Amino acid sequence: MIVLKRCLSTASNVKSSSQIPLNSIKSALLLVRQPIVTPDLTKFEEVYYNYQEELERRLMWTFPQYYYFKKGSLSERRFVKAQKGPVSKQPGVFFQKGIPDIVHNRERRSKQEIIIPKEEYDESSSMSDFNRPVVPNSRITEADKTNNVKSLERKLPRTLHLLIKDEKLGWKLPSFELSEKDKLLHRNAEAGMRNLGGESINTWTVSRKPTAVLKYLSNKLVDSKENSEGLVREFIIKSHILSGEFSPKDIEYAWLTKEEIKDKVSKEYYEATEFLFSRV
Amino acid sequence: MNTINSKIPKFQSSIIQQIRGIRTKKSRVATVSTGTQRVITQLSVISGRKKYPRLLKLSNEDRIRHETINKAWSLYQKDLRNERNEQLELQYNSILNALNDLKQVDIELFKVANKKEKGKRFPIDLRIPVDFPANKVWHYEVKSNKK
Repeated sequence: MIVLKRCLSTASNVKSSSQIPLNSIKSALLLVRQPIVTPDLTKFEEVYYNYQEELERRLMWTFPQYYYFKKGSLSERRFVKAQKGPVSKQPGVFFQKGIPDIVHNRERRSKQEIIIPKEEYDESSSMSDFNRPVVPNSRITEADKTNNVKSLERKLPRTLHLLIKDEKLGWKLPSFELSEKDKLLHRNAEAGMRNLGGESINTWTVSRKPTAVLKYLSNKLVDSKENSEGLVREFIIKSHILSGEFSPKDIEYAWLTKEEIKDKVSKEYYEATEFLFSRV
Repeated sequence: MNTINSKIPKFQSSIIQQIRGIRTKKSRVATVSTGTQRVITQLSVISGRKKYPRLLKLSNEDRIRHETINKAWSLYQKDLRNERNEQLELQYNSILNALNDLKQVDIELFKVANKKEKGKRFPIDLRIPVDFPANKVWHYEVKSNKK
């Protein structure tokens, strides 16, 4: 059997684990609400997508209506009636926009516009229910209008992160002390969050591995590479909220996007955790 | 009778077959069965013949405009990609750093953190984003998911 020795490893030089007390380790939770609707398009994206769509429509094949409507049927007649129909070529006529080039009732030089005939039914008819226009729900919710940061229904196109207000340290990710009984980081973080915000929450922990470590020296954030005595470490566990809500009794909390977090938390804290928050 | 028939001029018989532009005589093309006709229709739907629009003929100016738009788009995508990769790299390094630190601090926790999670699945409750929200935006009630 080959024994692999990590000769170049620096880890062996460090003090053994037993010297660090358990109460200097904390678990923190990065609880994320994923976007519910697709991201808002920037002006450039909007214009570009429109351009591509127009190009695609211009280069699209003629719609084979004879395949979808049986010849001589009522539905065919209704469909044909609804179409605008291209201008056909006539001998001895001057066409301002060029001589028409029509095949299969389609002007080949431009995109084909298909108009779907609107069927009319009585209000009382059961078919009127099918035929009613589709009105999508608004992407801006009630919580957006009132700017309710505690609501999970705000900022639907964005990722929200749970932050709580600590008396000493200000706004930060919720963190929990480890105890001998409940020592494992991922379990401790989930359990601590449930202790704070109630059991009616459904979450999914991404991994047991911490995403980041924050180090405090006498309540002051220091660099994550720092390695001196008396550090309090916070290991951040990432998790998604799937349903339910976080409803603590006596602490202040907020669901925030990345930009809003920047305004709330201290500058050092934001610099240390910035990359954890989603841009979308 | 024969004599009368022969007196009718020949061109007249061809005129009789056309009444106001409508063909009265059966076309010479053999009619096909409905099954065959269906196959012909389906094939013609797939085929692009007679369905192609005219090719786009871009003027030099239009071509430059088109290329500029595409170039701008690819630059924009590149910026997005770079930003994303940068963030991913930071996150990866952060995980490494955290794990190294955990190893020094508490080897037991480190071992647990690196344990393989067998049978871990992506949750089906997590929905993908859609264009418009559902009538019920968020589900507040939770079914008990305790083991």
